[in-house]
Amino acid sequence: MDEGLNDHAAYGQGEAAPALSVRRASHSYSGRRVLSDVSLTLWPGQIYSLLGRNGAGKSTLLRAISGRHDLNGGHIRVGEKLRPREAAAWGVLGYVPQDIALYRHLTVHENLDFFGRMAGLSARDCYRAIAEVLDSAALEAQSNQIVSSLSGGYQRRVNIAAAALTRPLLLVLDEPTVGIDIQAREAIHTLLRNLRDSGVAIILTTHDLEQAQVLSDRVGILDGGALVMEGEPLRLLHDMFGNAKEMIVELHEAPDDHAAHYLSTHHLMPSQSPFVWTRLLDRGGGDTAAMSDHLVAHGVNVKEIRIRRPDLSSLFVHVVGPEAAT
Amino acid sequence: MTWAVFKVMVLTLIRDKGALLLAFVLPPVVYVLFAAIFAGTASDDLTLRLAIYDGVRSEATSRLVQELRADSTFRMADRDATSAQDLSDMVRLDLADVGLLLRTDPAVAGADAPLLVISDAAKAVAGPVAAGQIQRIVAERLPDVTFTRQFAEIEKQFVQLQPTQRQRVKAILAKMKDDARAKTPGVEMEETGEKLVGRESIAAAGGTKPAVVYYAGAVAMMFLLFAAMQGAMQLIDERQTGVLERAAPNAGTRAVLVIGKFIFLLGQGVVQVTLIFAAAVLLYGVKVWDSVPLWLLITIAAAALAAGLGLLLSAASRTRQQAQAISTFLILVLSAVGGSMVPRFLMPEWLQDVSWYVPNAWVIEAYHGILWRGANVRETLMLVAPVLAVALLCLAGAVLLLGLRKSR
Repeated sequence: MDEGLNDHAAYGQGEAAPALSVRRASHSYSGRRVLSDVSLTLWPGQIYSLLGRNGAGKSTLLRAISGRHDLNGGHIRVGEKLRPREAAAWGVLGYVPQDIALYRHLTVHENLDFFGRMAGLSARDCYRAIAEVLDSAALEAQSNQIVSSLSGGYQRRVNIAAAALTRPLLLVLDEPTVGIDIQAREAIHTLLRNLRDSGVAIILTTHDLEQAQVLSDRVGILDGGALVMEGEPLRLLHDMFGNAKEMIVELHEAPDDHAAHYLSTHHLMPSQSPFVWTRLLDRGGGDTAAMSDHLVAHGVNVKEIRIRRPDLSSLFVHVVGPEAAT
Repeated sequence: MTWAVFKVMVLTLIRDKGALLLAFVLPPVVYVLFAAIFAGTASDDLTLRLAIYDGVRSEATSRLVQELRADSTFRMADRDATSAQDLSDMVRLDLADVGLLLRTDPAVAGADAPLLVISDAAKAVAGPVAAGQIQRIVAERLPDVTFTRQFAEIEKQFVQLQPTQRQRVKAILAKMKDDARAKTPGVEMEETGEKLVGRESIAAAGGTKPAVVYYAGAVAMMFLLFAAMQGAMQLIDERQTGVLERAAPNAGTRAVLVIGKFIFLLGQGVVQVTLIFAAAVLLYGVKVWDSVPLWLLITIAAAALAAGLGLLLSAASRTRQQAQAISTFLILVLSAVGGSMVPRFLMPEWLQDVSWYVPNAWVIEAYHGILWRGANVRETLMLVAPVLAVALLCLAGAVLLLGLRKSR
């Protein structure tokens, strides 16, 4: 990865120190390379989404950043010079695991109190910090409720709030919105934006490309352990697609071999699911009615055809291939 | 369909080592232990440690001492008593299960029983069993002595024998002695009566029943283990839910977490034992007040031991089921061997020897020592110090293991 992409000045961060610096991070498990020379920099007040297929190296990198894993090569610094493993780094680093890592039989407040105290906050500071995170996570009303009695979305908010108690410089989240409904996801987006606006740098992994696009200031795409693309979502989309549009063909059912072959002869390629095929309209061909007629005439069970601007899922498919899209 | 269900059950059992342990290993182990213990209590196999003080040193008492040493019914204490008082002290301090005081020549008629069996009231069965065995040995190995004594009594109480009669009696007694020496018992004597062997029981002040005192400590230790193991298993839940990784990501914070839990379990244990002894005090009048500092010391050590063991087991176990299975096994075995279920002196000799390697036994003996025998600080510390040492070793092991262990 070209480190120039991460250049301090390139993102207009002035003289502020980075919240996270990853340089040439590499790691192998039993001879299998899972991370290969990954470098990235994250500044305070930014949200960075790490994208990639399962096994791309996201979790390994995230665990290394959060100090839960040692890498074979490269180095990671939190703030100006703290190694994630250092005790001092724990005060500036918050980690939100994918699972609901809470005591389910305790109340929200009791959980936050435990994690705050374990993070080294005094009783008074902890009390104040709890009030603040309950406010920013809109959880005041649930403060005295037992965690297990809350919906999945609320539990995820408490999960994040517990990591935000120490006002960390860097917040590391592993799949923060997995398995929750849209409303709950929006609430978590609001919480993360609030944290970002208060100066917290946030790095997260997600398979939800729509979430990554609306939430992230920057995204990085990992493929085979390497960071193959990184930058601001809109800038990346512009660089990749320019002003081109994209045709989306949605099917009632997954196409058989014959239909799939016919779709590909029309430059359509599978997207996030076998029901959705896309085509970049950079050289015309945007007549949806004509396309529909052609496809139906050849036995393709078309549900809908529409034209849109390419989004991150389009970019993802172009960069790592259709089978990797989620 | 039934076969499919059966197959799944078999595979589940085979792959669950804890369930295998509970299903197939624990039952025979517990059976063997219980059989060994209760066979000892219910048969002639009960081997008591005997201390002797021969204050007479006559030919008859010397022969008796010799026969007792030779008989497999008893194990001899590590040393002989040096006085009658020393003999009582040996019994009181549990250096012997029973003491035999030879206070007059058994061949000479007298009002009091020449042989006195001294036992601790806490070992209720030991006195009568020892007395019976001694009477049997006297009857079998020293029949001449008992007849001599009885003839002397007859002459004293009823009629003087003629010289010719006396000669015949002497001849018979001489033959009895020879027969006994030749190990061919002549005259069988089923009952020699209380006049030959008397019994004396050493009881704690206050008249409390010994079993009540014994089982307060014994039950406390067993339930300390149950509660601590259960509480410590939260560590496994924390590991599995990710709480551990989040709250204590490195060895240092994990040490803090383990020590925090240790302190809690210690406190929980002290409260638990206090409640058991409160019941013992209120309902049975067990005298704890006189030894509160030593009692507290033992209680802290016992609770620390249970907490340390529980945390070590939880740190070493991968799943709650695994920990549950191992802890059940461990608690039952430790409790059975350590004396929580049956007093150690009732166990066969080999098991008594083994039980000294079980910390439960040290705790139970320590409680019993202060509440029954009036053990002093030094005697108590001798038992409590190893308990504390094991507790701290377990704690250190738990800290080390959890520090090394990955979160899931």
